[in-house]
Amino acid sequence: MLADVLDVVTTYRLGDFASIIGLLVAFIGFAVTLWNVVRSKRAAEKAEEAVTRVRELLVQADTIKEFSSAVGIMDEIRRLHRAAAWAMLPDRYSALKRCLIAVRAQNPAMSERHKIATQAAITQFTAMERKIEDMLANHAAAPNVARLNKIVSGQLDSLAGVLAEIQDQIGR
Amino acid sequence: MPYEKTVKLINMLEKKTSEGRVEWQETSDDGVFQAAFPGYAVRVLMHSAGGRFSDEDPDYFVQLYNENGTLIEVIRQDDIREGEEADAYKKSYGVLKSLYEGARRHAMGVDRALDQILEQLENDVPF
Repeated sequence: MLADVLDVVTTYRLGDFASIIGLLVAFIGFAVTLWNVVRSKRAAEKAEEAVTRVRELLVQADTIKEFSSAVGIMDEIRRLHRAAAWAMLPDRYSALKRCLIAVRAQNPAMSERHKIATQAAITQFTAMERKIEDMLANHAAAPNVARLNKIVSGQLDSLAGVLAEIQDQIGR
Repeated sequence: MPYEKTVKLINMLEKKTSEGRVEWQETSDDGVFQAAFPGYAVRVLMHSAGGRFSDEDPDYFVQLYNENGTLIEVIRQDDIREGEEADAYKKSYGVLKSLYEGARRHAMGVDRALDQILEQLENDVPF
């Protein structure tokens, strides 16, 4: 019986066919494995992209929050200037600076134009803080309110423009 | 001996300002103008008392501020003067004066105003 089977196998060269089929199956298996690896890699990349995008959105949301706070504080600073509430101002300048520095720290990839606008505001308000602190310490004459508020308004317009652009980017 | 980078900075700043490529703005202090860069800022100012050449000539200064708005460097005419000759004094003074005047014109919008007025005059708009 076994001899008959071996005879058929030898006669019809079934061993060769089996080898060829085995090779084909191995190729197909390898291709399927490769395809699955590529698919898994793509899925992992897409998941990573989604996580990065969510992280970016969270950073942008924080940036909007900080910028909105900064704009609010600038409005308050203008009112305090008009009211000549000089003793209250250094704290507000510091709070404003903290917001702007936080925005910059959260967004190292911020556009150059936005970085320049932020830096301009930080330098302007630091100088104002120093000026008011000197005035309070030396009991000097009060500075020109119209001039101070002209500078605040300029910075406010500039940062409000940056805020609008960031909001627009998130909306896209 | 002036610090090479300081001389280069002032010369480049003056050149770019004269080309209108630096965004100068007014500050809360009279006669002080500021230009911001990513992470740093520069202010130019003048002081009228005790000028270099005569009592009428003011001194010009450039201040550098770091990312937190802290003053880190003050550049005076002597810091960029290359030599002791009269020409060296004149040149370093001239660069700072030109930088200051360019910054003032840009911050106050003088060039823009002049351009618009000239354009109106050239178009023969009847008054």
